[in-house]
Amino acid sequence: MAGAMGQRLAELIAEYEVPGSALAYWHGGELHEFAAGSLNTATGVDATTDALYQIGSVSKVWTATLIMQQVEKGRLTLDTPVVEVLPEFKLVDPEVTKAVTIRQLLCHTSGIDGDVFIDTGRGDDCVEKYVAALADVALNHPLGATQSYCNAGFVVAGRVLEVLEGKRWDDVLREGICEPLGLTHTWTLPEDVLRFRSAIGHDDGQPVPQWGLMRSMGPAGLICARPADVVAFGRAHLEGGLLEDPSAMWEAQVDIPNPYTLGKQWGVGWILDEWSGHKVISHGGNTIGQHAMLWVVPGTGTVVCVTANGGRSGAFTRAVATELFAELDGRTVPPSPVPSDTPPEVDLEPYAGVYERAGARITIGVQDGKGTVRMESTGELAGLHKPEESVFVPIDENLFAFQAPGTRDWLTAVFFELADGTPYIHMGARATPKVS
Amino acid sequence: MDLQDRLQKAIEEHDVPGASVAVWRDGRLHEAAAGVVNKNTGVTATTDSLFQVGSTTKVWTAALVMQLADEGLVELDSPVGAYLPDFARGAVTVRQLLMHSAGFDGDLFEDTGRGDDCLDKYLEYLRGAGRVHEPGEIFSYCNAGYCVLGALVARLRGVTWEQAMREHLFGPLGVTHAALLGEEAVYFRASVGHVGPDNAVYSEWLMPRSNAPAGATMSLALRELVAFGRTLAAGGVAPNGTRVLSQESVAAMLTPQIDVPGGGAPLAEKWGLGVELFGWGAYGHDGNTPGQSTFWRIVPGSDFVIAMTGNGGSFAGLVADVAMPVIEEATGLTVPGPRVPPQEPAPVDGSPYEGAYSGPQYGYEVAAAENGLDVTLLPGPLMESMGATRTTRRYVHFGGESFISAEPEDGRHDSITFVLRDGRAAYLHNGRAVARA
Repeated sequence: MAGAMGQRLAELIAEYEVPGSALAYWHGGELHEFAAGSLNTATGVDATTDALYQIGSVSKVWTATLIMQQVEKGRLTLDTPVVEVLPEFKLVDPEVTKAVTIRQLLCHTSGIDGDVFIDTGRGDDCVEKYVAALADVALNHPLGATQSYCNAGFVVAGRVLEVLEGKRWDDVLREGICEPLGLTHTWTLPEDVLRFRSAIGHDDGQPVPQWGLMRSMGPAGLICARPADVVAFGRAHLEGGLLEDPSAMWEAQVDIPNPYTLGKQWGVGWILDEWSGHKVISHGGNTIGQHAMLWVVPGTGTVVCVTANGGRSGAFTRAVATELFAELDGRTVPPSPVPSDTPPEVDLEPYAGVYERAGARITIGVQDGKGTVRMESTGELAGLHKPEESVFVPIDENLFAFQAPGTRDWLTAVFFELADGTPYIHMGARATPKVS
Repeated sequence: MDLQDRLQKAIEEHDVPGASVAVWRDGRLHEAAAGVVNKNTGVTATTDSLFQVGSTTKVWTAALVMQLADEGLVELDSPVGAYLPDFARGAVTVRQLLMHSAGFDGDLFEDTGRGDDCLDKYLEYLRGAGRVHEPGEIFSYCNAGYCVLGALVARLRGVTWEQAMREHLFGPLGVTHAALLGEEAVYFRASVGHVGPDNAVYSEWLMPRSNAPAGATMSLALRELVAFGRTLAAGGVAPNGTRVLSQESVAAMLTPQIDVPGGGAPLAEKWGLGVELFGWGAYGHDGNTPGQSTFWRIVPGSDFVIAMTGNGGSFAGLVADVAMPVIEEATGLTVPGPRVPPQEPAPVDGSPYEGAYSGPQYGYEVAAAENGLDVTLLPGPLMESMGATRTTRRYVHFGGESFISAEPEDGRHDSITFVLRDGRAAYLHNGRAVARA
């Protein structure tokens, strides 16, 4: 198996146009590591198993774990209001400001618009300044009313850690996770990454123009690590080493309105899914041209991390998981829903209109009975993505699929209503309200 | 011998993990690289690789200041306080900072963070800097002074020092293989420093951003340093034809401003504005960060520039085996080798030199000994982290007030010179003036 996967990884990166990748997995009491391709097509430095990749939002599980360490120390509970730790915390709605809890940050139900990428500089005060800047940010849905992926909430959680520990999030991470687990290839700042081989993200085969996101987003997604270190982190959630009761983090907190993208429910930090009836906990991450996935299977003890620095990276990591879990655990990764050749007749008119939240505008249109979806980035990241329009194909009553222009992989969208009847669309793990 | 072969042979001989060299000679660029940028990763060094060029950065910072003078925004003989009211030693002139004679402790590597406010915070920190000598009294190599100059550039340009460097030098010069911040260096094969007898990868890739204008952070492919050298040689016109400095400013940078006590060891005999002026007919600068060293010389009139760097082992060996022969073959000049002790050192009365001397990074204890002095080096915590240990070495009389270590270290004999006041040493001088404790 081990030798075969080494060969397969090279084949799969070619198939999915991924410049470089690394894979590490823990199975049957052994660690297996593979790498293929190039870390940077401009320098031609080879990918190795020791190279660091940006693991993006996989970092959220690390930040959630650090919070759970504080919970186990008795310094707060998941239901502690954020303002109890951060008296200066302020959102546009004073009632929400008072009520939002740590739990709601970690399971993406706070309603704080999630894709707020405010650059508050390179300094050690960046997280504090980011949280202060949230005072002007719109709310995306009523507190606790649904799940919508929220980067901002994890930065707030990071600030909670900074205040409780009296040090930078980077240092809380190092002392709370990296040192206890002996992780030598896990860092947050570029000047530390520079002592190692590291990947650059790629777009259309070329290195991306900006290495990483602004430092303020650290607690939501700025860890750089080799996959073996990420696997060691995953193992600690099965075998111990960081928390008395790591399984508390896989208790379902909220259903995901669109269960076809990442998983069916959110736990504390973790995304929860079932494959062939077996629990799988996971998280993925995307940064500028880099992608990572971490899967943990409590029933078998298998932990897998795979990284990619460009290309069709989401489909690539899914393909790796599909082959690997079938081989290792006999688990079937549920395939993404794809439209049938004869889609059902669904009236899109009731859903047509503009849906908007911070950083994104989604327009659903109907022309000659055919659906279209137009995706626009707004705000600070607008320059990185051009607006894209795709055909919008029904799969069933409220589930639709589309392919981003120039890609072959199907993405899904689900229309749903909050308890108060407000219409929303849920795609890419985010809930977006209809505004017109 | 071809440059590549020469470099390859020298890194093996002198235990240098990786090196790169660029030479402008006979009207064209010659480049070579050998070894690895990092022993742990095994990534090979290429001529595109970035190396930390250390204090050669000071000449770039000096050029940014001279551009301000060209534009009439700075008077070299005006007090720095006129431009930076929050600088505690504001009576010091811009020229005194440029020629290392401002008189306050120079080796202050306080880390004031990675934010854009780091130089302003560093100016605040300098309120506590110790006085060493009267402004303008003697030469004493001053890193802190170049951080002040960087703050001056940033303040008057209204941007960070890094942005000023990109907009006013990198851009006009056409520099592409350069990094001032980690998030820029990570795009390249970037060298780490290797330290100690085992050439271990140094624990910190980057020194504090607050010291950037003095040389803490700049990484370059060596050809970029050659391009800048050619610009100085051409009176301020870059190889691409862009004028980046006035002829007058370049002339001022290359005009001797001050003598360096010790007359040629360990530094050049004289200093211009930011530039080391070597008696054998070249100018340039050296650079060091933990585990990385850079050598940069321009020979006026010979259309010759060399820039070379190594990331550990014996850099002195690399200079002797690669840079010196290349310079001599190309220019016909004779480059004096490193100083060596006399065969039979003259007896000397050690009593004027005896005593304790104290600087911010090192202390010294000097005792009279046979034919010379016993000098005990007392490294502070930072220098200990870079491999320095408390050691006592015998120095023999070299001539005048200069002494030289009897035994070589890292292939060279260390030189020190004493600066006397009223017949008694007031300063131990090794490039820096270290005042009697």
